[in-house]
Formats: sequence, C-alpha cells, structure tokens
Amino acid sequence: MTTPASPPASSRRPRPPRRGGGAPPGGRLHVLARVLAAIVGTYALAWGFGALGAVAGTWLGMAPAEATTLFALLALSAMPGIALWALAAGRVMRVWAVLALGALVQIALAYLVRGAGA
Amino acid sequence: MSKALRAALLWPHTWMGVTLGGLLIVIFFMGSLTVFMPEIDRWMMPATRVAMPGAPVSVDAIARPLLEQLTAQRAAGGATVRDWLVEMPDARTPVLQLRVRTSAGGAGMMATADGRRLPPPGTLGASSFFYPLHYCLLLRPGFIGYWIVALAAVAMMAGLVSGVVIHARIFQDFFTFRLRAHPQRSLLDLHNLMGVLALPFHLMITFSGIVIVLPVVFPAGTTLLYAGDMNRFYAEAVGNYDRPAVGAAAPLLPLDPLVDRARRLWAAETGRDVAVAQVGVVHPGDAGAYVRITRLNDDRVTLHNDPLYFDGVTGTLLARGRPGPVVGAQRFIAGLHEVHFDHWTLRWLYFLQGLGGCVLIATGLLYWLEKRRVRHDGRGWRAVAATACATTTGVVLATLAMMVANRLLPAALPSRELAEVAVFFGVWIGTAAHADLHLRRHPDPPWRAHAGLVGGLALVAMAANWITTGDHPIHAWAEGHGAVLGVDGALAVTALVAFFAAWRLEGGRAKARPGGARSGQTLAITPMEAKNG
Amino acid sequence: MADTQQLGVFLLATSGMAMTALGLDRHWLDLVGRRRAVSHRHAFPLRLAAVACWAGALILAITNDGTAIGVILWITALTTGAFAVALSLTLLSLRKPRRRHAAKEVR
Repeated sequence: MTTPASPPASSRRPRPPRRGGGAPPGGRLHVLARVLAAIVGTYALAWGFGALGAVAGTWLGMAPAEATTLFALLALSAMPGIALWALAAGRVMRVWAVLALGALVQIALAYLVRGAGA
Repeated sequence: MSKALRAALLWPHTWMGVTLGGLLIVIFFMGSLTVFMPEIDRWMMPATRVAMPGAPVSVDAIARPLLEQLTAQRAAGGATVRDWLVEMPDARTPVLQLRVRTSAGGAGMMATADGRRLPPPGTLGASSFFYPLHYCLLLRPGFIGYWIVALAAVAMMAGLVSGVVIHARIFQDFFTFRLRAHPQRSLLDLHNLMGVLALPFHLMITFSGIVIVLPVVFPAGTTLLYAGDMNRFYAEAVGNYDRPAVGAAAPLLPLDPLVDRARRLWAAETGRDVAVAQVGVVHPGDAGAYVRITRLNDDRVTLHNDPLYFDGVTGTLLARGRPGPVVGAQRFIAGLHEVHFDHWTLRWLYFLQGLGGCVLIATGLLYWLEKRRVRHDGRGWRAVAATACATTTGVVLATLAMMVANRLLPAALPSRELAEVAVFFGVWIGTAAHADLHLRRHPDPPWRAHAGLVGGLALVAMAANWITTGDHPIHAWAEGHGAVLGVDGALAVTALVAFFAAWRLEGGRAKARPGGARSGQTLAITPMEAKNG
Repeated sequence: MADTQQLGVFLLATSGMAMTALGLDRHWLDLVGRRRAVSHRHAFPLRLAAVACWAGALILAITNDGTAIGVILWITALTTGAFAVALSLTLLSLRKPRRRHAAKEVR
C-alpha cells in the first residue's frame, strides 16, 4: 500500500510497475489463469483432500459422518491459504501443475481406498 | 513477513475486494440484521407483539386442536399426513408457529399462547427475507446462492489473511486512526483498524458461516461415502431417527406427558430447567407415529438441540440424536455463528462487529476508488463506484423502504409480502441506477443524497410504526415491547448518523472532495481537512 | 451481579488495551511527552499490567458466563476495548491545544 513494489516477474520482460501496488501481474489471460486456479484448482485440491480423508478415516475405524465432517473442516481451513498461494506464487503453470496433480492423486487414492474397503 | 510476499499478496487482496466486496457488504449487512431477526419480525408483524406466556404452553390443549384444524384443511381430499411441527414460544418469539405437511402440500400458521389463531402476517419479515438473503441471496434452486455466498466467504477469509500479511506496521499502527490526514490515509487507517481489531470476529464469523453449509458446498466425503445423498449423511451425522408409517390407524398419545418427560430428562442431566424448542409428530394417527422433542439452546453455544424420539402410541423412548465429537464440534462452530444463546451484550456486539465488517470492506473499496481516481480509469472505476454506493447506502435504503412498505401497504393487498419484496428490489435497483447516472456527471457517488434519504426513510419507518400500530415508545415501554423499542431506537440512531453524515459531506464539498459515508449506526468518514493535506 | 461482572470484563479489557497503547512509542509520545520514547523501564511493567488485566478479564468472563460463552465474551471485550482506546486516542489528537493538559492527567 505505502510501498508499491513491482509485481512478480511472470512475464520475462522487466516492466515498470504500471499501476503501482494492487495491479495483477501479466496480461488478461494470465489473470484469468490465476483466478481459475485459485477458485477451481483450490476447490479441486481441497475436495480431493476431503474425499481421501473421509474414506481413509472410515477405513481406519471412524464413523463415516465423523470422518466426512472432520476432513471437510480441515479442507476448509486450508482453502484460503491455498487460494492465496495460487494467486501469488511465482509461475502460474507450476501452480496449475501442483493443484491438478494433487487433486487427481488424492481423488484417485480416495476411490482406490474405498474400493479396497468395500 | 518478507517484502516480496507482501507485494505478491497485494493484488489478490485488492482484486478480491474490488470484485466481491459489494456482495460481501450485502452479506455482512443482512447477517447483522439477522442477529435481531426475532425483534425485526415483531416489528414487521405487529400481530405477534404479544406477551410471553408465564407458564409452559400445553401442546395438547393449545397446539393440537389447531394442528388438527390445519390438517383437516389440507388433507380434505384424502391426502395422508406426513408430519406436524410446533415451534414453542420463547422470550423473543412469543407465539406458537405450527406447520403440517401432507401428501397434498404443507400449511402453516401462527397462534398466540392462549390458542388464538393469528392472520397471515402479509410479510416475509426478517426471518424469511433478510435472513435468506444473508445466507443464500434468495437463490435456492440448485443451492446456487449457497455456492456464491460460500465462495465470497472463502475470499473474505483469504482477504483477511492476506490483509494481515500486507499490513506492514500491524503492531505500531494497532490503535492508529489519523482522522485529519489525507483521505486516503484516513480510509486506510480505518480499514486497517476495522480489520485488525475485529480480526477474531471476522475470521470466526466467515469460517463458521461456511461451516454451517459445509455439507452443501463441500460434498467430498458425502459423494464417496453416501453416494451424494446429503439427507442420509445429515441423518447419520446428527443421529436422526426415522421409521415409515405402518398404514394402520392408531390413536396418538397425549403429548404433554412426553414433553414433561423430556424436560425432566434434560433437567436431570444439566441440573437446570431446560425449555422445549419444538415438538414434532411424524405420521400422526398412524400406528408408526413417533414424537420428536428438541430443547431450546438459550444456555449454550451449540446448535445441537438434543432431539428425543418417543413412540407416539406406546410412549417409549425410541432414540436420542447424539452426534459424534466431530459433528458436535461442527454444531458448536455453527452455534458460534448464530448466537442463539441468551446474551444481549454479545448480540449487540455481534451486530456492531458485523456492521464493522461492512465498514471494513467499504473503506477498502473507497480507498481503492480514491487511489484509482487520479488515474482516470473510466468505465471500470465508475462501475466499482456505483457498486460501492449501491451495496452500502443503497442496500440500507432498500431495507428501510421495505420496512416503510411493511407499515404502509394495505393489509388486504393480495400477495402483500411479494409487494414488499418488490419495493425492496425496486428501490435497490433504483439506487444503483441513480448512482450510475450521478457518476456520469459528478466525480463522486451520490453519498450525500443517499445519506439524507437514509435519514428521512428511517424517520418515516419509525413514524409509520407509531401511527399504524399505536406502538410509540411510551406505549411500547408500558406494554413491554422491547423488540419494538429496540428497532425504533436503531432507526432513530440510523437517522441521526445519516443526517450527520449528510451534513458533514455538504460542509466538506466546498473545501475538498468527500471521502464517502456509510450509514447505519456506523461512523461517517468525514471529508478531509485541507490544512493537513 | 452478572451485569457488574460483565462491566468488569469490559473495563479490564479496555484498561489492558490502554496500557498496551501507552507501551507503543507513537502514543507514548503523544500522551506523555514529545521528548523521550517509551523506555524499557516503562515498557515492561506496562506490558505486564496489560497481561494481568486481560487475565483478570478472562477469569471474570468465565466465572460469569461459563467457559464457552465466557471466552467469546472475553475476545469480544478485547476488540471493544481496543476500539475504545483507538477512538479515545483519535479524539485526543483532535484537541491539539489541550494536549499538555491531557498529558498531565495521564502522569
């Protein structure tokens, strides 16, 4: 606010801080990719965590409703942090890779564990 | 906190605020009103301004005849009755609320504690309008409104976290509000003050708000473990009991003895007199009938209402809803949000801190507008300015207009409650259009005109209540209508603050550009004093 | 009785906040004197007294309202107290000619 720092160099060309603090880095497409990562990607990652936790918790002997609620609460607590990381981290491609991979692996594991338990 | 991290988090903070700030202000404002939902309901439904009965109301003598009346009306064509529900009167809602559901649809009514049936209120009131506007924006199909509100709430949490990180001098500036500095400085000081000092409340209220609707907006575990069946998940989570109707008729037991048994059970466990909140009968008249009795949570935070299930024919205790520890914690967090416990100090402070949330977001928006003004951003700037105006003074105006309509529309008007809703949205859209038109010709949103209107409408609403119900302060005091006194008092304070803001804005116009004002029991950001700038 | 206890919670929380504010250079300079920043000699006792006030407020809140509601009341009282102090400091700074006078009162 008082110290408008230059936005993270996502586009390689060094660019003067056009609008001072508070302006998103990069072009419109870049911003869209960020925002989608922050909303969809964060939700997918958290969803995977909630699903995997619920299934694993049940497998370990928790009541299904308890495990479902516990990991939904934990996932919710993590969501703001993940979303901020998705918006602020260095490279948007890396953000997408981490979120997509994390979500897919967790969801796949969740279905695997559920299959094993049933 | 490194400088790079602060810089990286600045644009997410800014843009979340600019895009979702208006929506969040509406949610916070309606949520603040919801703290006093029963009181606003009494104000908007004058027929329910009755005294709280001294003794517990007999379900058999008072509620049951009315329920049978309702059932007879609804199930005349041979429809089967699904269930009855009686909401018992309490100190804040001193009337009975009755509801029956049949295979041919539902019906409901309100009645006084001595069994007098009240006419339909002709209004949605706070409980069916401001409250749903708060949690789902009245968009129920597909839970779409729940999703939007939850998204905004997560953004609010992220905004709070990033705000704390960005705020470089959080401890040095802990108590700082430089009122006489440059308007950008004052706005930022106020923004920081609201965000930092009330941070525990804001974090708690946003988190707990999402937690209430978590199974709806985050169905991860339910998808895998309950095949997406939310009702089955809910039933298992809180330990609901259910059984189908048998199909053979059997007389329903008297309900008062069951209520007494429930109260004795709770009294033995808690060591105090616990009031009954609801008495429900599922499959009344059937051999499979069962009775569900829940307790009032006026003495504790949790929303878990400890339902007891009795057999409706034999009277045996069938089951007791007991959530596990995690769901119990979820119910507790939900209770933190809803302040159902009897604590007037905390209710007022929730209300004020909720309005503080509006100020937090509004000052953020105004700061952005002031900062961007120099750069002449054109259409985008004007859209944000109009939104900021429509979601602050605009929504206050719409609310007050609805309250005025509530008092002045004729009782015989068909679909009266919808006319009130039309007034609300009509005025709201009007304020947005007015703000936009005004901004085409002026550098600022029409703060002063809106503030003056807020003050005027608040006074009109108060006077309309006195004239149409005769419940002026002396009368309300004598009759013990604390809710009416409270709402009228809040309207009076709103008028005072709004007129003060309008006056200050006018004084500042000659000297400098006004910073903006926010009405509704909060402070006005006074225009800058040019000498310090 | 309950009302007095509640009032006590708010008074203690506000006092603690006032002492915290005095422990900050800016407000110490504003209220006590322009010359010296708050010294270690003053800062530590102020902080200790603030913590003691808050602890007292917490105990009072919990005895009055039970653990759960008491803790909520306590946190809310801290916020309220902080706002009260911030507002007082703002109002004091608006009355510049009377600052010397205000400084005397605090001393």
